[in-house]
Amino acid sequence: MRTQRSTDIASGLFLVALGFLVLIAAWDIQSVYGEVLPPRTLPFTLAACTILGGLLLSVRAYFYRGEDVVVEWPDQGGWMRLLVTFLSLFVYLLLIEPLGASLASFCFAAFLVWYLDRRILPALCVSAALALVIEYAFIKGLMMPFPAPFWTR
Amino acid sequence: MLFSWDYLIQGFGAALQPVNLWWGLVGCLVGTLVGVLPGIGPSSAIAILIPLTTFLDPTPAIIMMAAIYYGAMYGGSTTAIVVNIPGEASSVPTAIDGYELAKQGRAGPALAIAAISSFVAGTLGLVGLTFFAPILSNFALAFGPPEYFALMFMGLTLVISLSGKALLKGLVGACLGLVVSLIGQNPLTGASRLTFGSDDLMAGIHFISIIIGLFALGEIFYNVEQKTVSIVADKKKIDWMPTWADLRRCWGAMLRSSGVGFFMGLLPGCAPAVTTFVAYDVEKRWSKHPEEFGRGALEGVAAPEGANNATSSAGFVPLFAFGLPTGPALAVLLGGLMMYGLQPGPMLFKSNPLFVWAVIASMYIGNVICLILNLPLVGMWARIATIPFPILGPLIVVFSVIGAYSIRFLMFDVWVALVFGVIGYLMRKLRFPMAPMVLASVLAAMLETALSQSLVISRGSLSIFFTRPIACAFMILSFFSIAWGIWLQVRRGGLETIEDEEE
Repeated sequence: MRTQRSTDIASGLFLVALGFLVLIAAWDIQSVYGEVLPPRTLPFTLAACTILGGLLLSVRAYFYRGEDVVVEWPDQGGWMRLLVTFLSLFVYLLLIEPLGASLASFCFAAFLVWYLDRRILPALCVSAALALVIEYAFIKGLMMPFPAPFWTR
Repeated sequence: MLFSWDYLIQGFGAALQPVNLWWGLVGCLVGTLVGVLPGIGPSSAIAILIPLTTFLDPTPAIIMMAAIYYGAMYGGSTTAIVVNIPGEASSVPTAIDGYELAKQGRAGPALAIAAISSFVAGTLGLVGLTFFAPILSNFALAFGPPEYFALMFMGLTLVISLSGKALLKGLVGACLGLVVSLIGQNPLTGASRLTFGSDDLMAGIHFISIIIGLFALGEIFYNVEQKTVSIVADKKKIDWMPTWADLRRCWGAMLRSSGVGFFMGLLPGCAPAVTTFVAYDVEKRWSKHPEEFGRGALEGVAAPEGANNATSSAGFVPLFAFGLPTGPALAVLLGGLMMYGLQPGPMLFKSNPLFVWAVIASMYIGNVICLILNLPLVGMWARIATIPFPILGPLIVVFSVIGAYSIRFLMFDVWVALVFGVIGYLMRKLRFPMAPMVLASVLAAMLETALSQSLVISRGSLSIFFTRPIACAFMILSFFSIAWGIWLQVRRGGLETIEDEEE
């Protein structure tokens, strides 16, 4: 999918599928007798618009015969950076509740700054400062109920 | 309620209280910083900060968020002129002539003209806001649910039809924004809908999570794939004083761009990114030396910088008078007002006059603060812009996560933000406009309520939107804007694409 034509066809079809999913989910909505705006009406209408819009997008792109527009997907290194950022964020979110907001943020920021910048000292300094801000400004200062480490609970 | 000097003076009294002044200053600083840094925009900054400011009273919180919005308009020009990197999409036209001037050794006058033009247009826009908003809100007192529904519907259709060449993508984006907002409980009956049996989804998807995901995380994913760009700024001292001749040359451009920016900024969909290009074009046509544009014309800096500030002030008119945001950043601000239990619209002027006038008065003061921050501190901002993305990116991610978690102190909201981060990345890649989706997700609850109430009044008949004159006028304008968008689309042909993202 290197051209916008092909991505438009694919995203249009995806939207059609998504519209059908909404349509199916809308069947389960309980109706209440006598309501002027039945609860299924809006989801049905929006699902129909999504299906129609997705279909038109695909059809329009399919019949497009002009100059191709290239979608600038990342190179191999770009995909790697994207994947590592996403996975580290994913792991960070999993660790917030067991490790607490400050420590998990420290680990995440230290790793990602090091990975992207390749210098350990700035990574440690920045993430330590960040962890201190979270601990003392947000948790202790503003009393925000962020998760605490499991061993302190 | 019409304009009253008493309210304005009381507003200044409130805005000058130390706590409000302090948070206004913080907002101006954060806004300028956000404008300077290319990796983050005002929408994401406000979205991240809304949940974190719940310890404040509504007045200082909204003063700060408004200051972030207009402060970003000031900051965007600095990096555009000094290092040819527009911090915001609205600063792209500024970079055209601003960077040329910098190459000619005139970065200082260009930066000063940008700041002065921003100040003049921002202040003129505020004068417009001060007098227009109460008149319009008075007019809006006659609005019932059908008029509100028709107005919000018109706002959405205008934003969709202004999605550049991506009309269908804008329409689908708006539909998806509405669908996502329907997830959870029906506000009238309490019945669950589109939850697929999930308990987490029963609580609904909060629009702040959506915005943090689409704008902040989406932007990070988009930037992280690119190799780090090293920015080499000219370290020599910047001489920032323009000559009187420079000022004389630009005053017309400042006034014209104020008018263009303000009146276009009243329309939904006319984000600063749009009006700056229009103001630049108007100035080029008006100029006796159009050939100088693109080669270092000071008017080419004054016009877009004036227009974006006038537009940002004008956007508050429909927001305060009707509760209608004209762009993503104001939609987020509307969300902030709603989180504080304040419903923008005519009743806001009636029930909370001191709040509204304090915010308006703080914007006059904020413009002065921004001018002070941007003229002598220009060298500092230019250096901040060179903070490498590998350091900035992870910090933005952590603050986005904290912001999303702080909405309801649920990890579910953070996961939602992550999902929408991926969606935002794909939308950028596949050239889907984001403004319709954001606006739809913020307006969804109000749209649904207004629609339900209207149908109760009319006993289920949709004719109510066409039998009441004001509602009918809005609906006609909506259909006209859709038809206009389709016509433009058919005339241009080609693939669905966006020229520039509104954020």
